[in-house]
Amino acid sequence: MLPQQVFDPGSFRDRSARVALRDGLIFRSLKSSALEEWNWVSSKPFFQRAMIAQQIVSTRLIDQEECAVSDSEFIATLQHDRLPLITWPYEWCFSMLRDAALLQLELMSRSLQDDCILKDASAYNFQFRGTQPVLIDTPSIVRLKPGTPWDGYRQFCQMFLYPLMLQAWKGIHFQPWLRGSLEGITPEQFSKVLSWFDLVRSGAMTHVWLHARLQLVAETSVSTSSSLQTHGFNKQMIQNNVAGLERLVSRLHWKAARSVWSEYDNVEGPVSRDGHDKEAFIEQVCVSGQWKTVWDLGCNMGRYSRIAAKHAELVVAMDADHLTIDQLYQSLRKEQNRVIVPLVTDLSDPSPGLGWRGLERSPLEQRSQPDLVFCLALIHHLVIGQNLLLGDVLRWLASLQSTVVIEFVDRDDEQVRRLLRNRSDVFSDYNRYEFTRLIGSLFRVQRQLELSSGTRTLYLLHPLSS
Amino acid sequence: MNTILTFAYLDPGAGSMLLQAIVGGSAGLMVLVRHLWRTVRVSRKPLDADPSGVEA
Repeated sequence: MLPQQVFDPGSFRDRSARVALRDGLIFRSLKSSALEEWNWVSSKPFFQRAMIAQQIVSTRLIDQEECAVSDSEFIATLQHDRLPLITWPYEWCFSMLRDAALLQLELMSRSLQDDCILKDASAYNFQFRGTQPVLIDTPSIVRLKPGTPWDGYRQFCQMFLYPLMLQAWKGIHFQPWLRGSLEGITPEQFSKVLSWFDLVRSGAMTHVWLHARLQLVAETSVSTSSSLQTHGFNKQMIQNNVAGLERLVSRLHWKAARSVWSEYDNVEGPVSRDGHDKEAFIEQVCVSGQWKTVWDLGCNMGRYSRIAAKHAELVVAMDADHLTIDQLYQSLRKEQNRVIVPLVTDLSDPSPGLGWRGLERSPLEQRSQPDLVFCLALIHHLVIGQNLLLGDVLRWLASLQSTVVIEFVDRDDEQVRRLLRNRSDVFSDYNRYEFTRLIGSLFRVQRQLELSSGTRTLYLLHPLSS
Repeated sequence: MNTILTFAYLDPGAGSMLLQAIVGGSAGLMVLVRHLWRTVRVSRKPLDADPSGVEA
């Protein structure tokens, strides 16, 4: 018998099917009710097809003896394939959230044909394999109880539909809203965001305004669910709703033309002049070792992430600019890239631990351990743009215990001069002497390359312990 | 009972269920009308109401 599993601290809401991690493997312990549902659902054609298409994470029932748990109520165990990275919806871009929403609706539509349903609609039930969304919460698919409405409809609106509408209609980034409330945006809140003009938009009057107001009508002594069942609610009504939501979501587009960073790679100056030298340097580093996970901090349009993707199992491409990440995701999706996961990440304000006891949704550093980190043309933005201390940034990079490729941008570089143009220069720690002193104390400097612009230098750094 | 306590006992899914009848097509609207009619009857004659489906 193997050591007892440890339940994932974020897996407790579904008491009948809890996730456990052991030796890097993902298990799900089932109580009898969940096992009964699994046996029913997993035999259905839609489920088999979705798993083959990798829309549902590959899952199998394993010998219970292999995975003993102390709680005797758990009578069976599933094993899920491990995805290379776990991400949270407030780290996704608009197109990622939209693709996950469309997959939720597609699985709803197909499962209904086989008399099954996705009982909830949490965006946290989805993860990304590269640019492909995957449903990981297999127990959320259950048998359809005839005559009952879709329990997850409100959750779908709160976690998918309203955040997408917020971005598409109002141009407001949804990530801070989802990070601020793990349950998403309520109909009551979102109806207050919309103007009278917005109410004529498709879906606004019903899925938002009426949704918020019906709650007051619904407050009666009658059980709404059983009453609707008694009066003839049926599966076709759910299918009509799902089909309408699919049309609505697929028509939501975020039409931002450009942002400060979205055309960064196209600008003239040191960025373009040094590009080829940097590519060659990165290529040499990538071929020099076996890299499992690469983090590309400040990835922009993923120029260097794409090089790393040829040599690594996973590349996490992070940038604080939402539009840039959205454009990167769309181009990677066209390429059907399964290695690079783009994330909207502000390193000066990264994802914290959230939810119950701060353990339900963990910070990125607890979900991913890089062995190679790119920090190219970024450090001047963190120190001067975000007012972080140079020493703190370098100590944080050193704490990752990874190989680091970092680009230092001199004070007389035109981009640094632009950053300082309207700021009082209080950044006395930002200079080449201090930078080289710090990296010398925190890393083993293997190689450095002066770039042709004359104001930028690349360094290849290894952790001192290696 | 104050307002906060009243809202604490609201079922957040009830309005969403009713809306599903509305967006479910014309047959769904008929389901909603029948539900609302029953709700009115129960609220007027609570003691005579069919106990099934009535919350304590």
